[in-house]
Amino acid sequence: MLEHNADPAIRSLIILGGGTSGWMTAAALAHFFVPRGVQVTLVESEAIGTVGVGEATLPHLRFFNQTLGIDEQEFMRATGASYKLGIEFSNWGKQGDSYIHPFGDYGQDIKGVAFHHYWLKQYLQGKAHPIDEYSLPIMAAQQNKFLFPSSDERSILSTFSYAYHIDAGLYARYLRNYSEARGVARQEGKVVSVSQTDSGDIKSITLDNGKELAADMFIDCSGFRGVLIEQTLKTGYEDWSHWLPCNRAVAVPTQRSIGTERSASFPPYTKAIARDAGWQWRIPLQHRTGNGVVYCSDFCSDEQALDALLKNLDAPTTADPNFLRFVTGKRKQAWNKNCVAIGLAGGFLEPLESTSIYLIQIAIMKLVEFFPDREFDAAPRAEFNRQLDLEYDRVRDFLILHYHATQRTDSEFWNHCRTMKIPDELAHKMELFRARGHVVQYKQGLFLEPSWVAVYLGQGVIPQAFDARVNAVSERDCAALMAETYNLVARASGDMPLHEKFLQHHLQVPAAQYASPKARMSLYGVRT
Amino acid sequence: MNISSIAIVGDSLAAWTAAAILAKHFAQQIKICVLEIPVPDDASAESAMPSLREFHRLLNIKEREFFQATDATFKLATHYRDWLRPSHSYWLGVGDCGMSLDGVEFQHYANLLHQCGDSTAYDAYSLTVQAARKRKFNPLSNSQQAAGFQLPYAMHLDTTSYKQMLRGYATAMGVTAIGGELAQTELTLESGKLRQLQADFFIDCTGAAGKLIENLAPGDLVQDGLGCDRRLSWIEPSPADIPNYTTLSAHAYGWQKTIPLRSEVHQHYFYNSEFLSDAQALEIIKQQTTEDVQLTNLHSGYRPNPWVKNCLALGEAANGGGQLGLSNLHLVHTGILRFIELFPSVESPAFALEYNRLTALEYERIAHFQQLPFALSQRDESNFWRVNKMHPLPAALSHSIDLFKQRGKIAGHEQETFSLPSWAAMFLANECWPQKYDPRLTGIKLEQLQQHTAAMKTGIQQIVNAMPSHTEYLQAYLKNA
Amino acid sequence: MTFAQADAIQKIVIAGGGTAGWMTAAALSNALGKTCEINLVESAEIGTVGVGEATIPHIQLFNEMLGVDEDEFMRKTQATFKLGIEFVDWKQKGQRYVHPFGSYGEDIAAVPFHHYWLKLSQAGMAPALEEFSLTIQAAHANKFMRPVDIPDSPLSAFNYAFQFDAGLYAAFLRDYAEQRGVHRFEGKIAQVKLRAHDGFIESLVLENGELMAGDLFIDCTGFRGLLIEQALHTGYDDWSQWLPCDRAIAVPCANADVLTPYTRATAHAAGWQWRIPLQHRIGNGHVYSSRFMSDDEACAILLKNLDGEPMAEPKQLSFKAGRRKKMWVKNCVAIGLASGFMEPLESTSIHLIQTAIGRLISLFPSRAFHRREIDFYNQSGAYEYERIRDFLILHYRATERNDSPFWDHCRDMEIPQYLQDKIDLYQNSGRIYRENDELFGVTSWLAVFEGQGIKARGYHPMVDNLAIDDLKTRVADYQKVLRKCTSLMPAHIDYIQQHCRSF
Repeated sequence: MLEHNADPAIRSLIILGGGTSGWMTAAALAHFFVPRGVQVTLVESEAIGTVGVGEATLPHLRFFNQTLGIDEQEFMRATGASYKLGIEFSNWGKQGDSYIHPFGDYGQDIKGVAFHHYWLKQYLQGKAHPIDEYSLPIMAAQQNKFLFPSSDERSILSTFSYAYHIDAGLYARYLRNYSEARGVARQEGKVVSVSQTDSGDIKSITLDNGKELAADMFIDCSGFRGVLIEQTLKTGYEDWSHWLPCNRAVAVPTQRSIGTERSASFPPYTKAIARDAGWQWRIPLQHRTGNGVVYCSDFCSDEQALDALLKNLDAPTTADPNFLRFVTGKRKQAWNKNCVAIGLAGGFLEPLESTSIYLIQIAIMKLVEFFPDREFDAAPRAEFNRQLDLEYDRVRDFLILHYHATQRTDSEFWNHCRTMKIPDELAHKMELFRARGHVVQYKQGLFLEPSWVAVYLGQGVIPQAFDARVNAVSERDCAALMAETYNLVARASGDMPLHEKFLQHHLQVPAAQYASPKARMSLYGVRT
Repeated sequence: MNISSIAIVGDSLAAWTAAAILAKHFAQQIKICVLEIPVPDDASAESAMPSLREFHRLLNIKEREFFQATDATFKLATHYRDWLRPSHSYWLGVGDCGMSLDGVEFQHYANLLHQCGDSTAYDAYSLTVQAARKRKFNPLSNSQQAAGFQLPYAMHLDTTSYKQMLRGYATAMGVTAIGGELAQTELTLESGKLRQLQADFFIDCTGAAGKLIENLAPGDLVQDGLGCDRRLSWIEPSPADIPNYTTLSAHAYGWQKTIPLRSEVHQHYFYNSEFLSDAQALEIIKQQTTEDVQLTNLHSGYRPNPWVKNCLALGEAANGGGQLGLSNLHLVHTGILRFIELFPSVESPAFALEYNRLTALEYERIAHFQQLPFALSQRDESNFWRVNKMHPLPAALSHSIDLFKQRGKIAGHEQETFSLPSWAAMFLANECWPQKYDPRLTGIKLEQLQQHTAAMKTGIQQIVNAMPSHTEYLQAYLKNA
Repeated sequence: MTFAQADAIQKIVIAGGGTAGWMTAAALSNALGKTCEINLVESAEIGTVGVGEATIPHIQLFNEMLGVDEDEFMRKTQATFKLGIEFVDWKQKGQRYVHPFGSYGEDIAAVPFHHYWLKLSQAGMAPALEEFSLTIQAAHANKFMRPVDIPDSPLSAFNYAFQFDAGLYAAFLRDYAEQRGVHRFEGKIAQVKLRAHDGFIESLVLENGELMAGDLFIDCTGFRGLLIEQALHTGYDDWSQWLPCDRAIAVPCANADVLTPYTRATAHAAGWQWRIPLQHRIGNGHVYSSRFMSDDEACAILLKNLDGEPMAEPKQLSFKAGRRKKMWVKNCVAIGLASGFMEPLESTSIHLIQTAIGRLISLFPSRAFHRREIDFYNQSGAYEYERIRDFLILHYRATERNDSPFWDHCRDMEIPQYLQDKIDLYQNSGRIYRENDELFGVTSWLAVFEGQGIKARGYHPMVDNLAIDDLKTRVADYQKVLRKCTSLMPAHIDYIQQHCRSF
């Protein structure tokens, strides 16, 4: 053919590393680009274990699955999944407190002003229930209930969304089957060397079995090491430990909880319990419970952390504990030259708000949106990096808030968190909320108003005042509105079935009867 | 701070807009007054954005009443003449061109066809442009909307009568208008207080002079020296076939804006005094018309901190509306609504900081959009054009242009006034076709795409052909009032 | 009954089937409706030649006239699409070019594109001419798609034709004709009876004794010309001095992997070989001159140059290039091989049948058979044949091959003045004119001139009005557009799969 007119499209692509990041990427590429002529190969080594701590997810994952045509029922069976309505945070604001950050809105806006301002007015007069009781997903979660949301905007059932707890290893396996069935090739092996072109692009990788694999483009899913993005391309890492000091985790699975009445039922939410120098997670799956602690080695030794974890399990362990080290932060550029880092290779933020799989997903979606050709134009790559930076920054600030908005004084760790310097933007946001409950709005990135309200109020950051427009609504109307919402929530949550029953039923119904709602890229109900 | 009184200073459209919306929310709690100091800056007519309709919904102002009172016409598009090159014209419609298909924006499809030699102009896919070109108007039927067509619109209006209308509304809701002698005296500010008038908070609507804000933050104004600093205005009689679009005609020293109202047409000749003297400009206009011509000085700069202490600058006092002034009234709306959103019922510097931060982001993006016709223009026959074209592009705008040229994508930012499809339409209207399109279009069936786009074009033409003329529609619309 | 009606043709007899016979039957039955009785006599024993398997875009008009659905016609005839003919080894061994359908580039300021190309080419700055033809680019990439209505895109304005099994086409048209009242008679013609007083054909007598009378007779009996020659002794103009090939061996073979949307004509030592891909097989044939090559050698060369296994015994035929001195004599019109023959180098055989039918319909006689119509018919027919002949001669003449006596002969032979004038005009000024509706226009002559090394020394003077940089930009832009258009077309085989797959 006429070579000088050759089509510059990407012909071959290598994904280095399996696990959730590798196989999610492979699956997405199998769906979008393998049919368009891109040859995709994933290289992974059985010898290198994958981290697999990202087991709680966000509603956005439903959108990912839906886009790829993955059936939710099949997915849940394959990954041992349970439903998730939010995260319960205990002991964060102070010892003994507890709140849920839900996937949903609090009440509804009235005359363009958010509900929580009306609630604040009542609350500051001592006349309101805790704001939790105005949130359907929170009340449902507290009663271990679950039901699919509705897309009818008039129904209170449309004011929440849901996600899953999953076995990430099983999800990776599921996606591997999906990808291989669609033409993705899998190559077993460990990388021993990487070659580059004259311009510094990655040319090929050589494996321990001697095979050399070349490709036009590379996705680095090799984990913290970043074999391509860091070890080869020396991109650089932005260290955020001065804001998020935790740098260790130890994880151990247990059997499904037995014992007290509360835990006899199957919770539709994740638990994040603040401890002396970090926090403990509990993630309920169909076949086991995932547990772990995230901690800071400056304030707590590995032995202390493990000890604390084992003492706080409510069922026998089913495997040995798994230790990990990490540095919170992000790669300076997720996309450098012809290499895109996805997953841990691109950065790490502790799974406090279940964002790990989300950050993988968003990187993949943006990769699809900005998928290059062999000319690797600069502007699309720069835009990809700009947008991904924003996503990371948003999550980072939200996580810092959890640590900083504490009144705990009972350990060095918490003293540090309470007094540390935080990013200016976050300080500014907190000031606005403290003043009169104003939440800074933005369009891009995760965690909009309802999330911030949940964490602020849940951790004891109560505003001095509220939006002035609230005063235009009479006392009587205000009280009536609050009561109506309270009653609707109570009734609707009371009517919901138990999570356990709902899940068991829906895992078994014929596929046509599994009527889950359409997925959206949103943490909340249809109106937000 | 407990704000129990607000004083709005200046007798301008910005002032009465602010008064109306503030009264709507706070009339029971706060004393609001307007000190009617004469403000000469207001243009006699405004080409508004669709946000005006939303604003009226907030105030419960019926659209038909608004039309009656303000000599208004509908606005479906803006006609840019001679911008890219002399004798070249393009149209930008209200609303978006085409629709995303399968998650990929429409401009990628148009680009693919263009790369196959398709000579169809991008605006063939814009119902608003096609209707504007033929000066037709009619709201869409349910079935037309169900088929996916949309006809968003804005308005042209007479600012004096509109201001009066809002004045009536505001005073009916309890706003006090203070005129007379007090309004004639020179404003004096002493330690945050206006000697003439007591209030907890001031809104400076005194126009470009920004008398209060300038007092509090002197010289805090960013001027980029671009665009025009003079405006000659006059009024012409209306043609029989009333246009439903604004016209911006570029000339060697600036541009001329034509705003068609029902009974008259308002002409605004903008120029830069560095390249054309006032006398020369007047000579040029005298060739065009025998009507009375008004000269106004303008500034194209903006205040990075419109909210200082207990004073908020709004309208011309805050910014010149950007090089082309496409969004003056819109910025008044967003400015006052943002203030209400951040109303400082508690003492904290954070509110002003947040306000100024958001306003700066908003203004920056508007300024970038309005700089595009200059950046993309091929005109260089006069110093005005050369200076404007060679002016270095802000990094973010440069990135936006590169991103579109390389990939056909628009970089979305936080405070976007102009929709992302509008940005794409602006680029394509200026013949700035991207080199590449979304690779998800690989393997697309050309025949299906061609049928789809042909159907879009035909559908649009059918709807337009069935519409009455704008003039006829206006007559019928206003007869039923 | 009026005078006119009394004079009207009421009975038409078509002697011979095959493509010529059945195309005529179909067209006449469509045009004349019920006003005329049409009978066709053919013998299953007499094999039909069936070498006319590639066509040119005009055939779309024929199908349209008959109201035939294109996809259905293709399904019934195992047809594929054709974008042009690739000529291999004609100028030199190892060299190839495509004579495409459609045009090269787009005119600028009313001056044909090729003049702009010539200016760049003469300055050594031009990309290959082939880069400016969408059909050539698509052919090379084995792509095909019918034109789409995208304003000003090359994709909206190109031509295509078909490659099909002529036997199946004849069968397809037979169904069509019979449905419209044409009667088919089986049998061999034993005798042609002439009228005593004027020598017009009165009737045909078949071997079984049946009599077929008629007012108008169409001779589709092939080379023999049972009516036009054997009965009416019209005479034949021999063109073998210019077109020395006089034999052909044809054999079908199994399909290759890739379904190519074009015909190939590969020059050999004493002739050339055609390759016509259909859905179910490939038609191949070696046309050669018995003066320069033996039958055995010709057969061997053919069999050595097949893409797949032969699917039948090779069939040989002989012919003489030339034309009947008159194609319409008295009340007999010869159509098809009976009217003349030129090798299928430019796929003109079926076209000549089509134009003959069209000409007959437009000059359709009454029983009075006025001279004027007949003379006009013969003049037009002759002119058409001769212009095609000259175009074919060009292929042979414009060679640089000297590796066999055949090619030496071709290089040196005298050529008709018309052809010489055309060559001279092009060489001097780059101009090409289409005269008097001759079949081949600018694109065709240009393709063969440039493809076989005849270079122009000049170009249209108005070309210089465009600045050289602007010209280069426009040319580069057009190339880009073409490349994009080609890349978006589906593969030929996929397109057929989707629209007109035979089962």
